[in-house]
Amino acid sequence: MPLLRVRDLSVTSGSLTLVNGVNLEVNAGERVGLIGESGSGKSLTALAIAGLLGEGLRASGEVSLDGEDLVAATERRRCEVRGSRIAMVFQEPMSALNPTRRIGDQVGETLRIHQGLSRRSAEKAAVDLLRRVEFADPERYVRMYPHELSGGQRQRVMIASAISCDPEVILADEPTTALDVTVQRRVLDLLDRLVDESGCALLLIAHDLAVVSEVCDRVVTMYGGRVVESGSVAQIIDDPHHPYTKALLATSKALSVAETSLGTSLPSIPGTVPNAGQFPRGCPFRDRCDRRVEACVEVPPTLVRDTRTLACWNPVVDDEPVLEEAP
Amino acid sequence: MSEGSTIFDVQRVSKVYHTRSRHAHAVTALNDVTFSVGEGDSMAIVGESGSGKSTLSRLLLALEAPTSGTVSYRGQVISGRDERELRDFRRRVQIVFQDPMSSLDPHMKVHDLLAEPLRALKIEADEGERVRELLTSVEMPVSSANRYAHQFSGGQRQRIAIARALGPSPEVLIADEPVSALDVSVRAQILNLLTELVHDFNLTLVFISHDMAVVRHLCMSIVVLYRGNLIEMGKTEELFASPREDYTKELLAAAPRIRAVRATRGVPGREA
Repeated sequence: MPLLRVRDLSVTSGSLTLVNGVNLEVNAGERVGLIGESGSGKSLTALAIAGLLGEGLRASGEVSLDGEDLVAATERRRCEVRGSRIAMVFQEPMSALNPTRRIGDQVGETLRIHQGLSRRSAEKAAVDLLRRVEFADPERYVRMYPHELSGGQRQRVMIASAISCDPEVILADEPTTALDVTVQRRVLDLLDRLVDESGCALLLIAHDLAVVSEVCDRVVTMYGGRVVESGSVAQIIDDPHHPYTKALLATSKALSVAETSLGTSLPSIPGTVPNAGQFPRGCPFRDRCDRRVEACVEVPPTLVRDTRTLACWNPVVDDEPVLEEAP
Repeated sequence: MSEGSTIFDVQRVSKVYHTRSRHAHAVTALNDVTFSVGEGDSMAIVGESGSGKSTLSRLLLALEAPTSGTVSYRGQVISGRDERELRDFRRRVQIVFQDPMSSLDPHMKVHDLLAEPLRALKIEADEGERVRELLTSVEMPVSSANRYAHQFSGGQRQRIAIARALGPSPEVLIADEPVSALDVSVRAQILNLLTELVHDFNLTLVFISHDMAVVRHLCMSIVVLYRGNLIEMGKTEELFASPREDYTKELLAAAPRIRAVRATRGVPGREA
């Protein structure tokens, strides 16, 4: 059984369905990348997994950690799991950290709450955690406030806080998007090393396929609140079947430093991601898709073959694989 | 670097910020920087946070004066001048910022956002007609004029910010990380738009970025800043082919690349 199993997860706000029947699995030690443009439902999916949905949002379906369904669990039980067994790293460390509290206090907080450490031993643990995320002088940094740190340092503080209780799952929502390229490289390498060392599972949310391809084993593409394709990194990069994945890949490739050149026209996806509730009926991507057919007015079923899934009426296929409907 | 005349001439420019705190030292944001931008150039200024690139953009815009050295525009020193003397300069040099949510006033309709620079610079034009023209040139529907910036997505807002910059018919566009906050696909759309606009309106482009891929796509030449110092400059392809400085090499190596097989451990995608 996978460590983290998400079955038919939906998130609704009143009559609006923002995340629609998401299925995904992450095994222990595995790194899964969740990709899609802003507004595809990636972050909401992660928040629903962590049980952190804001007021007015409701999750249904199943989020199982090691067989225990967290959606059905009490909030008290979810609090026990969150931070200790499932940890989250957010995109904006400046807004995720409390500006009025010292770094050591914030990194140690999770340990005080979940493992009952005293203030003093939590601070000692915070020093060790900061050292693990490559602070050269952690004794000095525990006494500092978030505003005294650079963006990359703040993100490393967030990661230190996330790994403090040795979580089984780390959810990282665009952890490097706000960072400079060189700092992004360092944070990605750090995440990679920590996941390697601890053997925990990583769900990495990103809009840049290059980032996901460097860090992850598998890729899940979301659009319009639905999972439209998933597979191994090699399968998705070499041979994407969904037109949306293919378009994202073409853009990411054209914008990667090795491929681009002066003045050429970059491939992009026509149009924009609609606001919630304004996606077309049927396949949510059909208005922007250059392969749409009549059938696209109906929601495509999710087909499964081996380790790949696909929801498309007219997929891009080179080798004509036989896909079978999910049981 | 180009055949045309010199637009910006930056000569031995330093900028030092003094802090009020008694403990902190003065911060040298730029240290003895010299380069020039020719007419029709597309010049990238690259470096990480704290390298001085945004300070440099403020000096090029004559929003601040250098501590020493001079910044000239078409042969005239622009720093420390009276605003009245700069009116023509203000029309000719426009800027697009990184975050269109904070650079566009949320209380103003798009029409007013686009008309405001025309009014401020006393540019005589049929306002409604000009606003429609500008929206069309950034591929936005003319009906956008009656809406507010927050009603648009990040990419659309950046189009509005670009339209606003184009309003006074500038000859120079300074773009400070204009696509860093955008998704990959929207980033491609905005870069395509910028490429077209630079061509169609004969703009000289100064593009500030930390993203070498974007720079390679858009700019003919590159200036690399590191902690306030200009450490390397040259034609884009030459600099990509043979970067001299370690920091430039690091910038190039740091950019993520698409890989079908994960790089770090070389394990192919797992088949469960």
